[in-house]
Amino acid sequence: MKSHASSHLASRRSRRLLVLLAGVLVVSLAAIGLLDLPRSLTILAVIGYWAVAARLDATVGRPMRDRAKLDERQKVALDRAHRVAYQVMSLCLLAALVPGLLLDGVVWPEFATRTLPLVLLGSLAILHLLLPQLILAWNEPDPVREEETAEVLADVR
Amino acid sequence: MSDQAVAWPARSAVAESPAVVVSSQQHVAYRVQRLLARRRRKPNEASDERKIYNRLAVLRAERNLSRKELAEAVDVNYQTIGYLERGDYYPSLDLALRIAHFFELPVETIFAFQPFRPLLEDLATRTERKESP
Repeated sequence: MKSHASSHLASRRSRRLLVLLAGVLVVSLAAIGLLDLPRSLTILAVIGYWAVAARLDATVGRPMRDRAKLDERQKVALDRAHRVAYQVMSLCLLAALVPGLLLDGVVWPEFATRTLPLVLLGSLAILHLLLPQLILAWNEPDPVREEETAEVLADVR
Repeated sequence: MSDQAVAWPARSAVAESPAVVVSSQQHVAYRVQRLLARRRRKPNEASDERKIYNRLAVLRAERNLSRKELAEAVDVNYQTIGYLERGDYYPSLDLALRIAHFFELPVETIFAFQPFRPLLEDLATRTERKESP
């Protein structure tokens, strides 16, 4: 018998807050890189991002890592997350091409030409790594509590 | 969801049948309603008509089984049993058959498209049937 990955799911509400926080941190990191803001702010944002990414990994990343240990529902959820992430990444990559193609020949501000490619690439890389976990964290239902049996039984009986 | 399941005539049928008069506005409003209903659906829910009800919680309570015990017996994560009971997830045929095999019951007594009647009501009906000549 397979030993199924145990889920350590927090409530859906707290997971969704974590997803929003991760989004805010990724945008902040991009803004810091682009606008050349103070180093202390960068360190703060990196630490914040690391903490959120670690929490996300513990909640939905690690339990879903070994596909052989997942049951059919977990495999469906993981596949759906990867499919949606692939579609979102395709759109993001196309969107990242637009400034290069449409604004070719336009004189960009100095700070943009210096850091924009790196920031864009960095943001896309972070998004690529994080997106399946973000989608899983957003979509997974609330974990089932043991005392819920009584409520379900009341509905069925 | 197949269009056959919808109790609204197709536009071609409307045009052919003088008895049914549906304006374009009504038709568009109906289509929009259907689209919104589809968006509100749970991700693994095929359609409102295809909702699958189950008796897992009752069967588990009858046999004094915890979710973990049932999960181990049918080789899934214990949260999956909870999601099945709650209707957040519908089982594959394989899992439905494994559960039926575990409870030694036909699969249709555990899963159904219609809501199950309360067990007491079922019992009362059966008793009435037995008593009547």
